[in-house]
Amino acid sequence: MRKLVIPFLLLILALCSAESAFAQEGAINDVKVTVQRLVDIVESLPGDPNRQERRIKLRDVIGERFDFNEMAKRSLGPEWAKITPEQQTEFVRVFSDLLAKTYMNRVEKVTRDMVKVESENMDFPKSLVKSKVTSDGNIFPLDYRLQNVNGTWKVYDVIIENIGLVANYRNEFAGIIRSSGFDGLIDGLKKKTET
Amino acid sequence: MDQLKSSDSKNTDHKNISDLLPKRTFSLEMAVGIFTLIGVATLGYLAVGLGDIRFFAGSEYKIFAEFDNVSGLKAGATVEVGGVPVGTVTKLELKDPVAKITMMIKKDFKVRDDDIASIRTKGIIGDRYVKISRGASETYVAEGGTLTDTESVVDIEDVIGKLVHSLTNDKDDDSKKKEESSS
Repeated sequence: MRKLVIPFLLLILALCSAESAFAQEGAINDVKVTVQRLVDIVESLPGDPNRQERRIKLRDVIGERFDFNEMAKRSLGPEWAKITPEQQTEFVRVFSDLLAKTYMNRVEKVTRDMVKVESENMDFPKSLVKSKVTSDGNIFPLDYRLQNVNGTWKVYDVIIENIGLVANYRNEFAGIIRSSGFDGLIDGLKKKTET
Repeated sequence: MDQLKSSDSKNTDHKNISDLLPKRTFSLEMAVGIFTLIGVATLGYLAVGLGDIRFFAGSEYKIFAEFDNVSGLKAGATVEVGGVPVGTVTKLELKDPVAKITMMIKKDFKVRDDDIASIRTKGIIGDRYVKISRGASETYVAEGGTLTDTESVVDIEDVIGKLVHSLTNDKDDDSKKKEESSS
């Protein structure tokens, strides 16, 4: 029996380190895969005739990687805790629609070599994945802030040229809430998504 | 006469003592005063700039924040929320590959873990400071905690340059589309 103790302990140790290695796996590969899938969709469904199908598929892929609930919550800031769950749900829906409308044109222009996912700075459960985007001869940094939720890495902020999406909307929304309240904000956002 | 003589001798004594001391002229007094001021100012600068010496230290707590770039930010810069100071930057250091700053925040201001710290400039040519925008989280950053959601220094001229460039390109795209649809 004594002969078995050491191998047994070593086995336990190996299993433990393997498990922790899994848990601490970074987000960089997930981001690369998402970017690749977006490029594949754009390449396989080009032009105006495929526009509707292309946009639906792009939104599906984006929805799997981006945590719109978290982005909406963070963009609203302290006001989030003051509204009802129904208002929160509606806000997330309107916010997601607005983001889709604002950025879909850009996403549809992505090509194979445009986005280079370069590195990651992980501080589990958060991670910062850095990429460079080449567009019309300009190269600019595009970083993703992700959070590991139940084993899945999800984006909660995007930073372009050191300007964060959440911080930008937070500033804008705070001003509107101060002057017209939450109702004024959501009405304004709805109007923007409809035009 | 005697009185005069005795006063003379007193005068002589005074004259001897005062001979040993430098003459108290205005310029001398001025130099001593300035020298003292410089000495005190240097001590004050060393205390604040190099050390962690804070007045009313018990009413503040220490947190950290990490940035890609803190160029232009200095120790002593204010930390503000909505333009109101809530703390001070006390230290900047390198935590390869990021820059780590230390901030002393007033105890009655609780920093949330999704607050965003951005390095901004007062006006076009003013000093850099740290602006905190408030998040929605109910979890607070404790003493010694770190804010990771940050925005580094933005060179506004670069951004405007790239924005103008991209707007121009969009116009080209739109005019191309019009040509294609009309032909």
